[in-house]
Amino acid sequence: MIALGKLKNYMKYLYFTICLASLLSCSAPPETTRLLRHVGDIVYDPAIDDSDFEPCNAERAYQYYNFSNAIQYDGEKAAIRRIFEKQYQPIEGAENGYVSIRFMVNCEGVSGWFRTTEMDQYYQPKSLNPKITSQLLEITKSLDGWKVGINSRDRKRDYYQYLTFKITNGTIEDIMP
Amino acid sequence: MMKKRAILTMLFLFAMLGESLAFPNCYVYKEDENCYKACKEAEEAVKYPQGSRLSQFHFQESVKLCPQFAYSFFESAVPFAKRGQMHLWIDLINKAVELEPEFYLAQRGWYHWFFMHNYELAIADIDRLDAMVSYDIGETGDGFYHLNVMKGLCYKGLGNYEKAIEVIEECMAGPEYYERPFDHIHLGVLYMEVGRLDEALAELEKQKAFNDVSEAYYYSAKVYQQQGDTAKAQAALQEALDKYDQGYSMHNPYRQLMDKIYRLDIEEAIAEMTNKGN
Repeated sequence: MIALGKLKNYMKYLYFTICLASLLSCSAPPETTRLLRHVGDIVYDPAIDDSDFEPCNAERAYQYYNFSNAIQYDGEKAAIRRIFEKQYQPIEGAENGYVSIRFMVNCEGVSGWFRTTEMDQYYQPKSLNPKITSQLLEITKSLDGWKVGINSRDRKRDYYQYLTFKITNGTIEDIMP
Repeated sequence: MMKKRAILTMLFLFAMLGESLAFPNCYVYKEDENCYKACKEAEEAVKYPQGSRLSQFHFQESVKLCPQFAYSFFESAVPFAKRGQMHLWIDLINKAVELEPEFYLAQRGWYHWFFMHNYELAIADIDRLDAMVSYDIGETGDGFYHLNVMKGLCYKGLGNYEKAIEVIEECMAGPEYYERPFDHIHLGVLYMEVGRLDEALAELEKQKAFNDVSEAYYYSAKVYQQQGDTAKAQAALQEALDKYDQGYSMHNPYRQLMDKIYRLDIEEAIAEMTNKGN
């Protein structure tokens, strides 16, 4: 009986400790847990991401502009523009808007983890003709001239890049950045 | 020339540092305890890398304490714009504009143009600001353009070249105006596009004298071509290539500037001209 009483006390103590630990672990403001390591970080999603693509160290990924160049690509942005001019088929009569494709270029210059956002002129969600978005995504995925990001200490780094397409009447009016 | 280079270097460094606005003086808010604390939270936020979790967290705390503290809305919006997430930028910048339109309309208008080539919204913001104040509306956050030159370039983006020239000429004739890194090249290209070729060349020469970039030679070549002077056009293209390889071009770490050309553009122009000559 005594042993059972002690056990109950231990259980109460254990229960109290677990509750306290849970409370302490939640004591950080909830917003911090919702915020990403950095604005714009992409979280791997096995449902949509190619499992063959691996960042070298996503926790230390840079942004494209950290290398002082909006686009780091063989042939620069001019080469990217030529590729879209050649491969993209305009969708006649389609509406206007923006398609933004964000992705990571890993430390070997390979791209992956593509995320697409479609917007209207006011940057509000808008579904454009799927033939527009699918073409842009497929061509973006096929780009294979991304340069490796080298930081100031000569170390190779993963980096986040984006391409935003301004679509006017189903054609590409502009590519940013 | 050295002075101009120093100015351009400073502008570039400013751009590299992230275009953060001058930090507000927190003592202005001393009478309002919550807004003073909000300012202090923002002070914490800027100690961390822009866009990092802790930076964004402190900005969020800041606006919770003082929902009128526009600076924190603006600054927490900036990394979203730089990283191609305008759908997440827009509500934050709109809030900043709602609170302090006189200060943040210029920023929002500039971002509409700079990051999205959203010419209509950029013009609307600059016009609204212009109607609101009696002083010169000033320049883009990176210092590269007077806001009215930027507005002129927006008209160019909309295909209205005559209006673009009118707005830019008017701005350049104003008492507050001073040359910025690429003003002459933009005006020169506009003149070229409407067929005012001699004025285009004169403007491109001014560009070379102020900031000797590859594009000035590239567009000069285009003008010479239109004038039928192939020899001068070829020489100018070769100079464009040389300048480009020496690192003198319209560079910006965040985006391709309007009228910027790349090595491939020059190479193709040279090849085209060579083929025509054969």
